[in-house]
Amino acid sequence: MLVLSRKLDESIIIGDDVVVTIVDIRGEQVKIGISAPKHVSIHRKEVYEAIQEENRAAAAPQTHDLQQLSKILPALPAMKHAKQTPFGSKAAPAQQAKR
Amino acid sequence: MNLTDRITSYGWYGTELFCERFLAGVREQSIPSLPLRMRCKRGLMITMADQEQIVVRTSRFGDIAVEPSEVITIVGGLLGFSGLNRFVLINNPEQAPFMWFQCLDDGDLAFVVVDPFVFFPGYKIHAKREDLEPIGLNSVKEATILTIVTIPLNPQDMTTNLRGPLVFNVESRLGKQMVLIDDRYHTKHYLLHDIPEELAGASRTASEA
Repeated sequence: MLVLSRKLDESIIIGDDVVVTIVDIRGEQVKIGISAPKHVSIHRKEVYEAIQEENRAAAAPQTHDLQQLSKILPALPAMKHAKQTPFGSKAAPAQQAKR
Repeated sequence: MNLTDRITSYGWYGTELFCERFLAGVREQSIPSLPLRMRCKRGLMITMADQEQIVVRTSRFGDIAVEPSEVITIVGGLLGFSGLNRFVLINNPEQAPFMWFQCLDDGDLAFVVVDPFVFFPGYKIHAKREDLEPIGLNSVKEATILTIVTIPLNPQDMTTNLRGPLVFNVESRLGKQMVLIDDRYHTKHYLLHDIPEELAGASRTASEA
């Protein structure tokens, strides 16, 4: 990790397009401004990592019987909306592709 | 366009009887789905006129054939799974509200997803226009939202990630996983119990208060 010291209003440039500026310092909290191209996503690290971890947990390889799972649900008033197929999604693939 | 119209060429390789029967099946449309090219030892090579179907070997569903029009592209990939951008949503009404979100770039990867509003009518997403620009939307009202479900050993404790919802532009079939700033929402919300009141209730209007 590169470690630099900056004072209020000073900046760091990363690559050609990302600029990090110290916007405010109050006690223990530092306000950081970041300007970057739109395609570069910027997140608080702990939230990003929490989501990443949750994605990985959800992607665990075991398969689930969704029909069984749907049976343990209580009556959900909003379920009638779920019955509508969102964006023409594919029915369960019963057919095998021929080789 | 029926299947026979889509056939642009075919060549005969062997047993005429086989080929005749195969073509008959195609005419009757009793053969459910055809790959772009099909060749068999004693048979027929058929080239389809329209776009290639995508055939993917998946660990949960075996081989599946997907029309290009069914493919959903996740811009930037899911967090932790960058580079895996193409998915298909598998929706069997008997499994509602659960659906499979199957990755086409990695056949082993699939997620259980739900419409979060079925469980949490009070769920609200605030998104800035620049967050939605990569998928071509102006406001989150135009979006279709799904959230990923994590199912532990005891299914009663299943949770969904409300902090990182999947936001879709249905028309363009583009989506992304958003990282919400709102810290009322977490990566694990129980679906079947312990639902906070603000998530359970529909938004209250001034007249109801």
